[in-house]
Amino acid sequence: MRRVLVFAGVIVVALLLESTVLASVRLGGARPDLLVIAVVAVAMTAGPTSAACFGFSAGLVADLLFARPVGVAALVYTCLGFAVGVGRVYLVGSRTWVHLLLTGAASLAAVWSAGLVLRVLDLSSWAFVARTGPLVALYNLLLAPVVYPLVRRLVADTAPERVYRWQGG
Amino acid sequence: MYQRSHNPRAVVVVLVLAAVVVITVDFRQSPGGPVERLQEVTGAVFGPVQRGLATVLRPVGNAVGAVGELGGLRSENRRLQAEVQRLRGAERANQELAGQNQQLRATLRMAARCGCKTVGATVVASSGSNFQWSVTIDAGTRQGIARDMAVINADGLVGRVVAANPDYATVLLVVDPTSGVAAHVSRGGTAGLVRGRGSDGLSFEPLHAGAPVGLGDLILTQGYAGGVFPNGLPIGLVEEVGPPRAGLVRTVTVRPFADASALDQVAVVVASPPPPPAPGGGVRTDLGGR
Repeated sequence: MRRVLVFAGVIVVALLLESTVLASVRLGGARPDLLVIAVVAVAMTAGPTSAACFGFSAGLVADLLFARPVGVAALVYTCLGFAVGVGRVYLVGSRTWVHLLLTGAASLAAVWSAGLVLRVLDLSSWAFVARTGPLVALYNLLLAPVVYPLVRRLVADTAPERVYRWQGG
Repeated sequence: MYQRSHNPRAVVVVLVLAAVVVITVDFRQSPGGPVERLQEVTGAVFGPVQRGLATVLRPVGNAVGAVGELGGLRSENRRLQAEVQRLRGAERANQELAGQNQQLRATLRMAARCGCKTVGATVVASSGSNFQWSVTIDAGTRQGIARDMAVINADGLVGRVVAANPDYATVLLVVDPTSGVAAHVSRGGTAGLVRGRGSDGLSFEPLHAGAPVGLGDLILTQGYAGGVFPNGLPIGLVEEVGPPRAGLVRTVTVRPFADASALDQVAVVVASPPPPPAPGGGVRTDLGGR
């Protein structure tokens, strides 16, 4: 229950910051995507199931708040959370720069995946998608040193997710 | 004995399917559909907090935003220093009010231009996504605002309302790739469709290949019976005319008058005069809900 509240809090705060303060702070026309950093942090701390649920909820609320098309960010963040969560066994305990690199790569993947879906729906252009991906990744890399450890600490303070349970006998 | 408490693959498959279902429902829903109602609820929940945050944090955002604009920082700095010196004497709140007053007056002039009845509003938040161009305004159904109403500012057409709750409304900007506006060229009256291209501005697609469109031409909205936008609102200027392609219309790039990244005071058109009869029986070019 505590974890659900923490997830909800992270989503609400990230969305409020994105739509107010950060909306006017652009890097080459691109906005940062705090939710991607949060999804990666949750995946690295709590595993694939929690990260997929967190990604789905965060994406859905973001889509509903930022106008259509609804569901695209939910789809992308779900897959991203799951993928990072599954792959975390290879990265746990790694150096800081590995985590940073992962956040940057995840940001690039998230923008390009969402762009691909929107391009298929004829709502974006290849040129824009290609250009925005690296910009968002760079922007997120600048914010990650603050956001990433914060979300990790908040999530780690809640009860750890147990994939396997000892049943006795 | 160990037992799996969750099957991560099953969870992710269910969530992915749910997301695909939501996308499908959103695309196929009629006005007032379930996803739209959810959007209204989300807007109603976030709106008041966004408004409060925007008021408190706008100066911070503006200041940090200036840092993000790399290039020419030294000369910019000198210019800003001079400006700070010049502005220091003036009382801050007074200046802000005067600026708002000016914007509102210019917006009213724009409304008078099409003979429209408008409701004023302030932009309290904008889309945090890189793929959607929308803003939240602090006026809603209580102020008479409803879906599919045109939104203007002092510079020209801004967009249209796509969701409204009692106190707030979401405005889809004309530069959003899902936006389409029936338009005509001021000189010559060539009819066509203005589509959003995100940060690349707008494109104008003439309905007939070979129709005359020149650099610097003014693009205005084209009103028609049952349409969203009043007639004759300025949208932008033709910036580039692409070469004609065989059997296809030319691509015309339009620079919008309304700066999507610096919206503040806007007006929602709640009533507009009936459009003039369109030449040739009129052409319905509105994209409707999408």
